[in-house]
Amino acid sequence: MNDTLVKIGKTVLKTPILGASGCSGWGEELKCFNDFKNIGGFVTKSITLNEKIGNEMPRIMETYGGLLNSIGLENKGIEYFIENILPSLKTFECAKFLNIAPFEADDLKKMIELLDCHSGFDGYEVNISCPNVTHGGISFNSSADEAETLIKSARSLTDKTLLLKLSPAFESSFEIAERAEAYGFDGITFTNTYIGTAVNVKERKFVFKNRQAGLSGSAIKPLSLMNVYKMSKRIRIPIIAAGGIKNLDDILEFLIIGATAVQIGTQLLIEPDILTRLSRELNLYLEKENIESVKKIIGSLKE
Amino acid sequence: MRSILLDKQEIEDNIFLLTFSREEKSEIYPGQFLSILHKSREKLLRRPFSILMHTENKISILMKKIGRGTESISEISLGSEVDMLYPLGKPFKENLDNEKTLFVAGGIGIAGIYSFIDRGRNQNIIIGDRDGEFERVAEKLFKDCLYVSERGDTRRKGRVTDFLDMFEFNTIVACGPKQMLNALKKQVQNKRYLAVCEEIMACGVGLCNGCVVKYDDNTFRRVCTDGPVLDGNRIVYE
Ligand SMILES: Cc1cc2nc3c(=O)[nH]c(=O)nc-3n(C[C@H](O)[C@H](O)[C@H](O)COP(=O)(O)OP(=O)(O)OC[C@H]3O[C@@H](n4cnc5c(N)ncnc54)[C@H](O)[C@@H]3O)c2cc1C
Ligand SMILES: Cc1cc2nc3c(=O)[nH]c(=O)nc-3n(C[C@H](O)[C@H](O)[C@H](O)COP(=O)(O)O)c2cc1C
Ligand code: FES
Repeated sequence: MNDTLVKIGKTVLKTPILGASGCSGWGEELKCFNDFKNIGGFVTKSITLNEKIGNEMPRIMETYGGLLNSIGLENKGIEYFIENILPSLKTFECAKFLNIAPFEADDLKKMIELLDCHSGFDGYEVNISCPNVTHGGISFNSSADEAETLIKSARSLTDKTLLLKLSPAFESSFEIAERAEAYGFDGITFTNTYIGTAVNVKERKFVFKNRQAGLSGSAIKPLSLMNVYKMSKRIRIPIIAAGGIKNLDDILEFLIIGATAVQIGTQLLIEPDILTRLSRELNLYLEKENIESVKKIIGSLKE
Repeated sequence: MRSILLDKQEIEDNIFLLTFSREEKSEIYPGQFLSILHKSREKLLRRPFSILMHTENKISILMKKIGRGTESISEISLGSEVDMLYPLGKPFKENLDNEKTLFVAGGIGIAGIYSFIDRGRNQNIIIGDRDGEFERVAEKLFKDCLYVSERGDTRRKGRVTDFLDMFEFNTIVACGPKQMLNALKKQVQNKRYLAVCEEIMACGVGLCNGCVVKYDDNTFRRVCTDGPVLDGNRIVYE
């Protein structure tokens, strides 16, 4: 058996392949299609301090080779999560990260304080990069100083693995990642969706009530690959790459260019068993190519 | 899951009856649907279709070709493998009282109500369309239904909502365009209204929250896992 393990912070992933936030549900739905013993893990939908009802329809629109979404972080808030969802999460035998999305500067502290006494998950993915809410959230991603006010105290609040998920829409993401590294974050998830939009020609209106939406899927892969490459030059903590990954070659490209693990979003919506399938394919690839460990691939780009 | 396309009939222009082999044997209930991975490269998502009929070894859908995805599905050749997921959606396990239930479909909504209908018995069914394009489909699928059309020289001219008075019912099962579901809501306030909903879906299995409809208390329901059968009187159609 070849070695597909990677480590991010304190978390060991059985394979470097995770289900991305917003595309993995709360795990329960994913479990119907995947054998959790054989996959890396997943990130939950975004959790906010208070309930968010989410955006009006339409929330989804296909573009050429991609997907625009405007879901709007629909969730019932942190207390509901702890009471009703966390207990089932505990039973899943793979890595589980909670994606937590702060709106106000002290939301993050409050959320980690409420969650951290519980077991049953591996860590947090702090999301300041959702393009689908009108205030808070992504504004932290638009300036390194704003982001710093939010992230600087996070490490002192938890021993669990701490990831920061950043947007490709802001140049500041690179500096924020450097500061997150300095403040003790264990990894950077890059990239969230790109900001895009669509117009209804007949009505001469934006398709989405929120005007903008997040673009994901195959269409963004080359962009995210370049962004991950640039990010790998700026930080030493692991990068968990996302953006249009749909097959083993895509995964290998991201690992070669410097990612330690990857997340699959849009393609997971299309093939809900893809985490299991690609984990198996990665194993076969290592065997066939006689590569003893996936770590040999990570950052192996020849320049 | 892999299935094989066994039969394809274009029963009317752009309306196809497609029959596939059934590999997955989980029980199938009314209201459930399947989703097909198609090969049009520009659009990525699976396409959802109501399960029209099923036997132990076969499963069929009625599909209207409206865009790239359905076009590429209509081009699948007999004997080819098709990747589909089923059964999806919350199973509707109740037995409806045939005498007191009215089934209403607008256009391709026929496919959405079909699985609820006990075809051995007389039913109260209204099928409506715009231009006469579903007349032959209705004839083929139902031995007895009221077929109405907004245009064309049919016996009955009008919209489905113009004909509700001809029936006595306490429950209505309806599938069709949102305008139709909304118009029905205004007329069936004091009856049980089971709306078989269709929304654009990304995953169809509850992962993404992309397919919601809004209820009157400002909360959302997912069409793919809370539905497709939802409380038509509580939906806010806009
Ligand atoms: C639960 C469920 C059951 C369904 N059952 C059936 C069925 O039995 N038979 C059948 O023919 N169709 C059914 N549909 C609708 C079918 O899924 C769509 O027609 C199909 O996905 C369109 O794909 P396309 O690529 O051909 O069209 P696209 O190119 O994606 O779209 C063409 C145009 O149609 C619009 N459109 C796409 N999907 C829908 C939709 N769901 N409602 C309204 N407008 C839409 C688009 O906005 C666009 O303007 C069902 C949908 C759902 C959600
Ligand atoms: C429908 C949908 C919902 C999403 N919801 C979230 C979310 O709640 N929180 C988050 O951090 N990212 C969310 N994302 C972004 C994904 O996690 C991922 O970063 C992005 O889509 C790029 O990967 P992909 O191209 O593989 O989808 C969502 C993406 C999609 C398509
Ligand atoms: S389509 Fe993804 S939750 Fe319904």
